[in-house]
Amino acid sequence: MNDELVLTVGEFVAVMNQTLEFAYPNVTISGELANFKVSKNRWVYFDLKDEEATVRCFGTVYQLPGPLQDGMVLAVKGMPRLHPQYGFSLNILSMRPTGEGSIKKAAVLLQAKLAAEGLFDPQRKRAVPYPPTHVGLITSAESAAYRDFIKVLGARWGGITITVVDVHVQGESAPVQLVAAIEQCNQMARQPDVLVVTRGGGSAEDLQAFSTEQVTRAVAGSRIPTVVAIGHEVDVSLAELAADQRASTPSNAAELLVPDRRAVLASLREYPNHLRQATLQVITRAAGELTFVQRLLHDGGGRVVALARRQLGAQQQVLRAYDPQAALQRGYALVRAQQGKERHIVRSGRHLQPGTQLDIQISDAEVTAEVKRVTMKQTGEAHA
Amino acid sequence: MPKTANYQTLSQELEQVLAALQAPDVQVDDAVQLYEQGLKLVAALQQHLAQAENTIKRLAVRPTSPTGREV
Repeated sequence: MNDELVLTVGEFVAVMNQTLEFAYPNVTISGELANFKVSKNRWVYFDLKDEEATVRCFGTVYQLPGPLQDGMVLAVKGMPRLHPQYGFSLNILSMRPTGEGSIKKAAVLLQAKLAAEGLFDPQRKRAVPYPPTHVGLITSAESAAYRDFIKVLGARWGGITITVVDVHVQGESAPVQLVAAIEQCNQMARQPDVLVVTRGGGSAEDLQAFSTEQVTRAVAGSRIPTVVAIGHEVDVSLAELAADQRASTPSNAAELLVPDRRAVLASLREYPNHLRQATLQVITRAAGELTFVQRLLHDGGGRVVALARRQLGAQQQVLRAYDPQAALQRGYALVRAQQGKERHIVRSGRHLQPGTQLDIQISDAEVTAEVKRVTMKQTGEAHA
Repeated sequence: MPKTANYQTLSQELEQVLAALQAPDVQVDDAVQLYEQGLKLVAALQQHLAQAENTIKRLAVRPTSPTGREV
């Protein structure tokens, strides 16, 4: 009796896959990347190896953390599978570079790719409102970065609404959450004036989310201006390069965002003086204009008087020409005759009779005379 | 000035008042009014800066994941 179980090849593969799925629903393996290939712009094949072994990995381009190169060290999370034709492989669920060297290498490659697309161009940078009235803060609400930002912002400025979107800033879920938070803020009914994406310092691995392609693209694509502040000084993350403004630490982000109220209060104390000076200038100018008008009036008045004097002089001359005393001095005489009870100036000989008494006024004397004879010029008629 | 005026609004008004005061054709009566308005704005700004506090609203991200929180 032979009770040995004999399986077909297909059955064996199926049993192996069931066993693997039960024992290792998924596994994360770290190793060096080799034989990296992309097929039909969609499928990704590579080997993960160390000194002792090699494991084939299979996935899609959508799972790539960015450009990869042979020699980089990757942590690949995947499902072990036995393929009916191609043998054992790891079906990739996610992957990320690990180790300082590989993370930097991945960042350099991704940076070159995104820079070529223009994501870091200075002309893309927008002005961040200063100071803003509504800040969208994307960080871990339990972190020191959060506390530092809130404390420094509150010490420097007031009246700001801060909408905090609590996210993981490291680990596998961080990139997805950071992207979701940026989109969430961009979709708010009352949008913030600025988005601050921040976290404290950490190892290259801790900060990796901020150099992933998806987070960098989300920062660059935000309709709301962005400030990215990662608490480290040595290396700059790609999200910082894509941001409209970069800050070195969470506290520095708060400092860049708002003025210090003490400095503003100090400058405000100068304002009453500015206002007073400006008002005094207006008054001084008006006073100057008034003096000018007074002088004009004064000068103009003088001219009127001079004109009047000239006119008066001319009239005096005319009057002088008609002065009878002046005529008497030139040799003329005024002759008056008694006519009834009154004395009249004699203008005609018609009313004169011999014997009529005449009063003759010359320049320096009154002479009394009597008419002897009157001869009219035109008729030659004579009274005698 | 409205009670809800924020720093930007008050600050802009103050700059406008100062600019109006420095305009070449401003009359003395208007200048005195602008001066008084400017002093009121300075006082309002000083009060705002001394008293205003920030308001914090906390939201959870959508979607969330339970790993990797920085503390």
